[in-house]
Amino acid sequence: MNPAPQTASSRDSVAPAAATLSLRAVTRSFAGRLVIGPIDLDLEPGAVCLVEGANGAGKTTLLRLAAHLLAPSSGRCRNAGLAVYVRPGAGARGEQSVGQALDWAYRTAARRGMPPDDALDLVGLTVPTASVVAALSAGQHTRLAMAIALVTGPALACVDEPTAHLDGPGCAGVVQAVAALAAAGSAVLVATPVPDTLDCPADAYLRLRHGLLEVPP
Amino acid sequence: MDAASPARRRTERAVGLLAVAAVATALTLGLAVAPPDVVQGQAQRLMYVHVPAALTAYLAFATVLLGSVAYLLRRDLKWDMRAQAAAELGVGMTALAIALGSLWGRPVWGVWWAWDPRLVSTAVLLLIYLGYLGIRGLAEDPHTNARRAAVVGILGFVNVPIVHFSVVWWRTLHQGPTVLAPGSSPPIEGVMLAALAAGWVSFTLLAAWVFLRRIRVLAAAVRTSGSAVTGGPPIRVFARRNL
Amino acid sequence: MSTARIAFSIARRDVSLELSGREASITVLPFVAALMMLAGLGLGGQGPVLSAAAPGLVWLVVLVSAIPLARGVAAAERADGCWDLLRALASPTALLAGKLAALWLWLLIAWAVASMLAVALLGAAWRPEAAVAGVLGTFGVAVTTVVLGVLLPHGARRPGLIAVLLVPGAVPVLIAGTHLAAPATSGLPWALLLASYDAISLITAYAVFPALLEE
Repeated sequence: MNPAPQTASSRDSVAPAAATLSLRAVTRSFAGRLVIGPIDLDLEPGAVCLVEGANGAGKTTLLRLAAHLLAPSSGRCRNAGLAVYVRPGAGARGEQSVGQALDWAYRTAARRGMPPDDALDLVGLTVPTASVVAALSAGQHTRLAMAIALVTGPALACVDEPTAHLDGPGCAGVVQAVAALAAAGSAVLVATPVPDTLDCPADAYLRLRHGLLEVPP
Repeated sequence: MDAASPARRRTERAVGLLAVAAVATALTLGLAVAPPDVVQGQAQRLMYVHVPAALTAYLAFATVLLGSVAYLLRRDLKWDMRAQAAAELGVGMTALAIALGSLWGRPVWGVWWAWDPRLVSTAVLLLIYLGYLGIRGLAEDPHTNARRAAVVGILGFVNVPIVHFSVVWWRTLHQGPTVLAPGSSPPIEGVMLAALAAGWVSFTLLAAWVFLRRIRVLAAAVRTSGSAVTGGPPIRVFARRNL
Repeated sequence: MSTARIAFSIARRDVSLELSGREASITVLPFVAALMMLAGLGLGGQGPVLSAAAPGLVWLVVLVSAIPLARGVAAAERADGCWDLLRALASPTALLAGKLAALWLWLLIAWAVASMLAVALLGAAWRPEAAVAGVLGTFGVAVTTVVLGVLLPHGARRPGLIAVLLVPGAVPVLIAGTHLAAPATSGLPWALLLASYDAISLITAYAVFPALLEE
């Protein structure tokens, strides 16, 4: 993957041949207040798109719209195949063991993703697979959430502030996981409040301000 | 502030005036013209209010169902407002019908409450729609509220026939015909029937007037709170994998 | 993976969560036992009164025990951040079916425990028809509980609302279930009533479930 961003913006009306994610004039309001959009966004398979934005800029809303977890208030949102939304500390029940949580996600996603053991290695989660999820530290839980995204083998992974609670090696694990997802053909949308904490090579860098996308200079 | 169209305001006023006329007619017929019942005496006059209240309540709950289905299909808050206004009206009318029935039951049956199928299913209806109103206001977002309420509005209504059936069967298996069973009550007299019909017409018109007013108020509340900001033209972003 | 297999996978996950966490068995079963015990005391402890009231009590207890069980449908999943993953991996139908299967099982267990206590503590007569009521009645209650569990995932505001919505609508289950368990009534009409209640609830739940999952 090449770190040089390739972003076509403004009046480019050429639609990609087989976009994994396609947002058209998507807006979303909560309680009558517009929090996002209108946004147009296309992601091709394997493309990594980094979205930075301050707290409250609408990053989570954008990612949840893209993952089909939120319905747009207007506009059209289409994605091809499985879309997962990942945030630190999510994806596994506290009573489950690490192995159970990963196995379940892997099997339920029809074994299309990365095998659980490989995913654990990649994100650097070294606890025994029999460990109970509730007993993990916040950083370990963040790594587990990333591993769960890997084992589901999604067409689109929306990764929300993945470096929260992570140390240096943990952040490196996230970057590797994003690269592995992209290499396997997943489009990846990564949101981060501070771009410096996540040194993640991406195909497009975007900034979200007051619910609108900008291409940073 | 009030942006309702003049045609709507005219309809509302016309319905209000008709309701006033109907209420006056119903009061005259029910209180002065119709004679007291031979068996039940003056208490029977409560029926001119009790029966129309119950009928209006059923009409209101059917409107809740219609509004709920239409909201889920169209996602237009106007349908949700209709469902809400109808539910409030229905709850009020059901409570009124039960209270009046109870007032009537004390002198005539000798009890405040009887385990009559119609009474039980009406009370269950009241409880279901109280829950329906409780669902509203849980979320900040009007569409979230509307969606949840619509689901309960549908789920509540489809249960009504089967609740009624089960209570009717339960009763027939437990004891013989009750006071309200057909055959045991004497045929109703012409004037009394007219008073009942006038009561029904005035209740329906009054309910329609309240309903129209309520949806106007609800719509005005949404207009003032939900002044949606529109963003600029969309910026197009197209991310392609760099190989 | 087909809808049926994903539904099965969700139900199996709920069972294995219960086996490792024992959330429902530790709370709901003692609650059922306490309710049956206190009902006996509250009704005066007289043999004929208790045995006559027992079938109705069993169903009242099943209905009440559905209220804490509803948390397992969506609230517990949301608390652990799993609801998003479930929605991503399962279609609305698969999610409904999987959660329904698990909840039906818990309610059947609650019903079985309540029925055994009714025989042991209250001297209720046991009839085979009661088992038909148990299977059909708990299914109907489970359908409504799954819908309401998804509808009201946040218990912070108006936590009793689920009870207000669940209990009155379950009148047919209470009546039919009580009659099927009580001696000297013909069973078939009541079983049919329960079956139609189940069918209507299931069809409605299936129809509204996609709208319910939207956010």
